[in-house]
Amino acid sequence: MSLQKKIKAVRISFRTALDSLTSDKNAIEELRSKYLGRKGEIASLFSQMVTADPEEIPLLGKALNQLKNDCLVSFEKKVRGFEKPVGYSTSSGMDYTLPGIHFPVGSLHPLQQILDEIKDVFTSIGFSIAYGPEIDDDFHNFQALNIPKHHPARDMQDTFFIDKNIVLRTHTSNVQIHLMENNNPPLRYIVPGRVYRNEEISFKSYCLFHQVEGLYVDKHISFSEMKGMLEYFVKRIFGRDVKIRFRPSYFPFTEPSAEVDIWDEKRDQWMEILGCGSVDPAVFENVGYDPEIWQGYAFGMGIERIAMLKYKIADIRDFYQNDVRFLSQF
Amino acid sequence: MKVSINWLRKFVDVSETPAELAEMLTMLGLEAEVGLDFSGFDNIISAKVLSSTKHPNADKLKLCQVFDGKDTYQVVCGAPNVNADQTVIFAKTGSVLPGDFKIKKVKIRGEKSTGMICSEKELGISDEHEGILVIPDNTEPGMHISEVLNPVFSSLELDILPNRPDALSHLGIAREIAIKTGRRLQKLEILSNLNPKTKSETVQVHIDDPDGCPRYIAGVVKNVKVGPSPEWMGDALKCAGMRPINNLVDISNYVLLEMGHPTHIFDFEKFPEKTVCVRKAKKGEKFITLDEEKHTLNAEHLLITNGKTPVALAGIMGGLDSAVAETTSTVLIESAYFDPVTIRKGSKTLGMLTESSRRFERGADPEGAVTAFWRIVTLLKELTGGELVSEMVDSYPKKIKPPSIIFRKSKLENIGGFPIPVKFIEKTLTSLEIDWKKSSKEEWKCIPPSFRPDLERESDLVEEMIRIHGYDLVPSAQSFTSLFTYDAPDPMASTGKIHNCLTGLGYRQCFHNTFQSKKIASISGKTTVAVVNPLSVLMSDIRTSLLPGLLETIDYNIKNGTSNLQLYEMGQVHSQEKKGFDGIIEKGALCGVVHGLIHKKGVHVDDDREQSFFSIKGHINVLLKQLVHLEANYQECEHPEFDQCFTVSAGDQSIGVAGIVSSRIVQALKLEIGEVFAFMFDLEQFVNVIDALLPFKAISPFPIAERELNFVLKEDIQAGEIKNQIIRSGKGLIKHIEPVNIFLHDSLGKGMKSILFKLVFQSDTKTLEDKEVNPIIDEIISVVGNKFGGKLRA
Repeated sequence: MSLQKKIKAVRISFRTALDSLTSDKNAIEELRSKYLGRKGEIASLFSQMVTADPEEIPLLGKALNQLKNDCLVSFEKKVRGFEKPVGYSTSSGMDYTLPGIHFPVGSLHPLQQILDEIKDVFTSIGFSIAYGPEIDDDFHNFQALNIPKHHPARDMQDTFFIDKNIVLRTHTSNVQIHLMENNNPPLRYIVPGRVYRNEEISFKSYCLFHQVEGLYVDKHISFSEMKGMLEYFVKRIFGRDVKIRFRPSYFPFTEPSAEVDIWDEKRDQWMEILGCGSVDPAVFENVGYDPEIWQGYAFGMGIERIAMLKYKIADIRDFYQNDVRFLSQF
Repeated sequence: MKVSINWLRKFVDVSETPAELAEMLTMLGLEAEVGLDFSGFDNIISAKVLSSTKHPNADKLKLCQVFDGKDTYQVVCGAPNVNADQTVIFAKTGSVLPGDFKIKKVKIRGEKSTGMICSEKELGISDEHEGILVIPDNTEPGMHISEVLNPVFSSLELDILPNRPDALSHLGIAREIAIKTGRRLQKLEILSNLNPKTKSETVQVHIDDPDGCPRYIAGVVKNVKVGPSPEWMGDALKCAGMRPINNLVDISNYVLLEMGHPTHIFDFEKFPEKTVCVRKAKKGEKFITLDEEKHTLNAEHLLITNGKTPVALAGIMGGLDSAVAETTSTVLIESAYFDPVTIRKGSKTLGMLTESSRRFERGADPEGAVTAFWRIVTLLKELTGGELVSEMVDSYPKKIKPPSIIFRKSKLENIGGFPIPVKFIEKTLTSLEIDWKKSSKEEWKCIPPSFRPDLERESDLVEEMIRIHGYDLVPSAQSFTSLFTYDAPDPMASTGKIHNCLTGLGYRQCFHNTFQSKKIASISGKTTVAVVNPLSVLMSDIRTSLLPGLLETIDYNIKNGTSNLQLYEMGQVHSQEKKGFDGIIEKGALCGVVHGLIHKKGVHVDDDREQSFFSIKGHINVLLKQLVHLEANYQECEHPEFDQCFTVSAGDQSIGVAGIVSSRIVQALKLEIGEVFAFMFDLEQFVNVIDALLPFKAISPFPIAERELNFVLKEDIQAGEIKNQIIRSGKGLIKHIEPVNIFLHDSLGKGMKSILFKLVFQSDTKTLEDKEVNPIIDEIISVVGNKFGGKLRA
């Protein structure tokens, strides 16, 4: 028999043997050594090559390599096939208690989740969403919002300066001004974004945080409507049984101004969650709206604060550490 | 601000507990908390010291017998002022002092001590800890501390907002209580007949800067006797958080806290010319203030001088040289009105925030200056025996006119959104001490009092009405109005899809600090935007890339026990593209990183499998297929943040880059992590691509034809080049092509490899037959052969 024919024969006999192979360990080892071992059939074919016609040798070599490769691959595939089902099942059936196949677990940052929740509540009652610059001029961040230079109200917000007249916004209210400069009333927006305060970093304050600010301008928008709307908002976020109070406060850009508190059972005290008020007529004048015709309300809240209250997080720095043991809880 | 409740009682009846009072004031916009209230401190009582003898084993300690009306206790006491027959505050064992200090039975130098005689500091009244607090002798022993001390020392802590200078005083707070409760407000006590019949002394006032000092009132008081203040005044000051010093200083402080107007008392001997001047400082002028600090002034600072040398930084602090001393007998009273902006600038540039500057910068009361003057004269007479010997010199070059405001009920109700009766409006206007006149039906002409500089416009009165009415009583609307808007509510709504997709792929979202060191922020090769007043040099610049934050988080998590990470952040980055404000470019960015293993060895996986560039490529494939329905194209490029980098485009639109993160960055950040793979997208471009609407393509009803082509090629030829060539030669009939096997072996020839491509053909118009597919295959084989030297594998 020529070597070519022998190769074919070994291929067929190996295939046949492999097909009838069982998961018996001894049988597997026997097959492996019979064909693939150092003194196995394939090795023996290689050694017979020396006797072949020299012209045929390259072709034979190629065919033998192919045979060896194919046999090895199909043998390993078959044997691997024996192993797994054994592990997955017991004599009483599939072992469903084994872990599932692992996939990496993703998560949305808690601040993103709270922001999304807030956006959902407001868009569901007809607010649009606007975005604006984090670095802005003094006019948009302060003056147009009725906070003149050298006004004590500037102390309420410690500011990072880029230069004398350019700041990292201290609130997203700068976007209010851009919106009103570029649009005619009526308008109704919330503005989420990152804001900056030059405060020492501690468990309760960070050099930046995230805010959602809102603005509604029309001809008839009252303090009473604002109160009802914000109560609705707070109940959507903290549950309908939450205790809420509005108390007078001061912001240069709203008048009357109010602070909204919710009652924290655990701490046994009121916790501030947002500031709001009717838009101050000076703000309207600064953007060329006639305050005798237009009125409205504005409000602003810190997402970190709401997240901390909602999830009972004690240290604001946790949000920026990105420890997976923290992130994986949300 | 600390407010003494006892002091408030001088002006208005207070029947509320400290907590109730705090609640009332908070709901008026004067955020208040209970300061001192002894009602919760049980087992702390009044007691008599029966005897006080030297401790047998310690020189500085005394052994006291203390009687509480029932029992006698032995107490070791270290106070130098403890004596027999004193009535004191005694904390029994088991009681808890302010600051959670528990009193236990102890032995001190061998003598047992059952309880403690308290000092003011231990009770939280003041910083006085040298001696024990001695209370009046007529106090019965055994009384609860609150009965003894609450009438004198109970207090509130108030946070006064910048628009209410009037509330920085006891009278101001009492006025708010009176307005809310309808109780009567007592006036300040000012003696009559203070004006001397003959003026034995004169003083002249020159105001060089009427803008900085619109009003200056001065007068001279003779024969004052400097000494300690009476107990009632000392207690009041202590309770309001101020340390008593001597009667002259205390009187000025007392009036400040009482009615909110800052005054100053100078030693008149320091005014040899009998002249007071108010002028701007000269640039570089030096001045030493009372606190012995030396200041170098600029031309915006306002000075009080005696005609020659400066004696005070106007409205901020007096000078060291002109301060009253033990020997002072003649004083000059200053009661002025300084311009808020001038005082604020001065106080800010010098970094001096004083009780005085705080009030002037928020707006003092120009008429209050007169009242304060007479109040000081009254107290000087009562407490020091001093007599006014000059006239009240009132220099008022720049008269401050109160505004006249038309107040409409219609405006109030428009803004408020609920009806408010005329009767309430008029009653409230009166109680706010607004001078009003009905100007027409439901409309009032109002002149606000001079102590309320915040009331300038109609809207200010609207706020006052709603505030006094009570925010809790404003009815909440039960429905809302809205607007039709024709744009999608959120222009960035597609970012939500990105979040969903990435978290679904197993990425965790992170939020990182915007601030970085200049070195880190500059790694991206961009020019950073720097902060003038950063918190630290490590936070001096604004990030230009999201990558460094994510790399630091990988390192942090590995060091804290979590490895094998897939993280992303979506956020803003800034760079300075050209000079100036307009040159600052803000961009939304999206960055994802993978690190470590994608699969760990386990029951389902034979071996650990590491993340690679192809994990990132696979994730981008999912992002684009799911959100854009386009294939991503990659083109090798250079990028400072990557060792190997590729631009990623969807269709023709470039959306970002992906690759192997530069090891240089990892080193610069001093991180101990190996290879990281990342993608970095421009968020706006990505969202634009997502939002572009791709029309639906009808599904072809015709069968597909599959073919395989196994090319042997030079090892350095990339699969993508061949794939693209095949597509180009495919006459638009190739629906799908993918390399499915790459085989590298010398048997193919030295430096050769084979790539097996799987091709799927399909036409939208007919069933493809061999006679159509075969010529294409021949064409592909021929082109790949000609262009790449590829041969079909035998």
